[in-house]
Amino acid sequence: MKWLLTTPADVDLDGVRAEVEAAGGKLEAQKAVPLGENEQVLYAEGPEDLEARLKAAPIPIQVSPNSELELY
Amino acid sequence: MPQVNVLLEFEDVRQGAFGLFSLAAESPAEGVQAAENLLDRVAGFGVELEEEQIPVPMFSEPSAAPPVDELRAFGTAELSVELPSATTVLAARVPDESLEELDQRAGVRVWPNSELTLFSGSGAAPVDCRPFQPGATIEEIQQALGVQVVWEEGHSGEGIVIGIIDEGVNGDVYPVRGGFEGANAPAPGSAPITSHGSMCAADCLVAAPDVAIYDYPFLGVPNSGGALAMFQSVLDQRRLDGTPHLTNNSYGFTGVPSPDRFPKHEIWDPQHPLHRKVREVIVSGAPAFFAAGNCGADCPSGNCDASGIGPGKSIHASNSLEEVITIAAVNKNRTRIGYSSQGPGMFMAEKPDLAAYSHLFANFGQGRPGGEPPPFDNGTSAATPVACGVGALLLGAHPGTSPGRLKQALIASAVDVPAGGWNADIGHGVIHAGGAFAQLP
Repeated sequence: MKWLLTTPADVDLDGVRAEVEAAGGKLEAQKAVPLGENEQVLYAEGPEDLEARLKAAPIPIQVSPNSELELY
Repeated sequence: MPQVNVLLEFEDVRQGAFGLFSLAAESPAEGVQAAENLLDRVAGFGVELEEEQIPVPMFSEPSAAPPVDELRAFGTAELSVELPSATTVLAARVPDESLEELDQRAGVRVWPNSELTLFSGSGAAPVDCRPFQPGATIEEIQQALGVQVVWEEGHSGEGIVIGIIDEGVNGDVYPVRGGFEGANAPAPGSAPITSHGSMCAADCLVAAPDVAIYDYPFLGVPNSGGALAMFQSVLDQRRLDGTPHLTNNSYGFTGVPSPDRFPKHEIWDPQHPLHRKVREVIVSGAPAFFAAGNCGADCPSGNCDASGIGPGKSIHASNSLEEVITIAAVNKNRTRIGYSSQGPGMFMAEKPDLAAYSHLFANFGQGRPGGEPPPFDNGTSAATPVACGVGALLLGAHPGTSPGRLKQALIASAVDVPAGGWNADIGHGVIHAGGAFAQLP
C-alpha cells in the first residue's frame, strides 16, 4: 500500500528510513513536500498496518493513506 | 450569430386548414411549400424553418376566445364541419438580433419554442439521465452564463492563469504556458488531445477564452500523493510570481471505505496532508474549484461503488472542504444531470456550492478537437472547469479578489436558486458570470 508520512521538517531522514524499513516498508524516491510551518510529507510503500507498526518509533511519524483517485 | 428557437404565428385565414395539416403531415414537401408561402412575409429577417415540422392551424386569434360551439361539435362520432383557420404557426430559428423587430411586424407574432423535459413521474424535480438530452454548443453555454456583459467591458480572462491538476493537457490546441516540470515528468502540454485534462482546458476557455493554462499532471496513477505534489508545485509557482491564479480539480473518490478500518482515509480525516495543502494554496489567494463527483443516485457513473452513491455519501474528501468551490452539473436547460453527486458533503454539509453546465461540445463531439467518443464533454469534470473559467473571467476583471469573496459573489448571483436558498442537488443554484460580475468588487 502507498502511504504519506508526515514528519518534522528537520527530522533525521536516515532514521525515518530505518524505522520504515524495520516496519516492513520503504521510502520512495519522490521529493518531500513541505507542509505548514515546520513539517514535511514523505512518500512510502508499506504493509496495511504500517501505522500500527510505526506507533512505537522514537521519531514522530504520522501515517496517512495515499489513496487512488478517479477522474470525474 | 446566435439564433433562437421560436414559434412564428402568422395571420392566415383559410378554408381547408385541417386538410392542409394532414397533407403536410404525410408529405414534408407540401408542408415546406405551405410554410415558405408564409415565410415570404418575413423575408430579410434571416428566419430559417425547423426541419420536419408541420404548419399548425390555430382557430382563433391569440386575444380571442376559441370557437367553442364549433369545437364542442367535434366530440361526436360523426364528421364535423371544417373550421377556417385564423392563424398558422411555424417552428423556426431566428437570429437573436432580429427578434424584437420581427415581433413588431404586422400580422406576425413571435412565441418561445422551449425544450421540454420528460419528468420521472415521481413528482420529484426533473433530472437528465441516460439517454441524456442533446448537448450544447459553446455559444449556447456562453449565453447561458451571461458572459457577454463581462466581455463587453473588455475582460475575457487575459492575464489570468488556471492551473489544471489532471492527467495532462494538450498544448498544441490549448494555451499551455507552463506547469509542473520534473525530471521524470512529461513536459507541460504534451498530453494527447483526447486526455481528460484537455477536456478540462477546453471547458475553462468557454467563459474565459483568453485565459492561459498551467499543466499539473498526475504522475502515473492519480492518487492523493500526486495531487499533494501538484498543489505544492502550484504554491511554489505562486511564491515566484503569483500564478496560477486558481486551480481546477475534476477528480475525487468513488467509494467510501469503512471508517473503522480506514479512519485516516482522505474521506474521513480532514487533516490529511492533501487537504492541508489545498488549504495552504487557497490561503495564498488561489480559489480551488472541485468537482462534486459523478455518483448521484439517479444515474451514477459505472465506476461508483455502492458505498459512495447518493445523498450524503457522494461528495467527500477535498471536494467537500469548506474552503473549496464544489460544482455540481446541470445541462443547458439547467436540469440537474442525474449522475451529479449529491450533498450533504461529508466534511462541510452544505455542498455542492453551485452548479455549472456540462454536456457541451467543447473538446469532444463531432468536429471538435478531441472528436468522438464521447459525444460531448461530460461529467462534473466538465462542469467544474466551466465554473473555473467563470472564476478566471471575474479575477481578470477584479484582480486580487479573495477566494472567499469570489465564492460569495458567485453564490449571491446564482440563478435557478432552490427554495430555501440551497439544496443537495445544485447547491445555491446555477453559476452566472454576468450576475457575479455585477456583485464585485
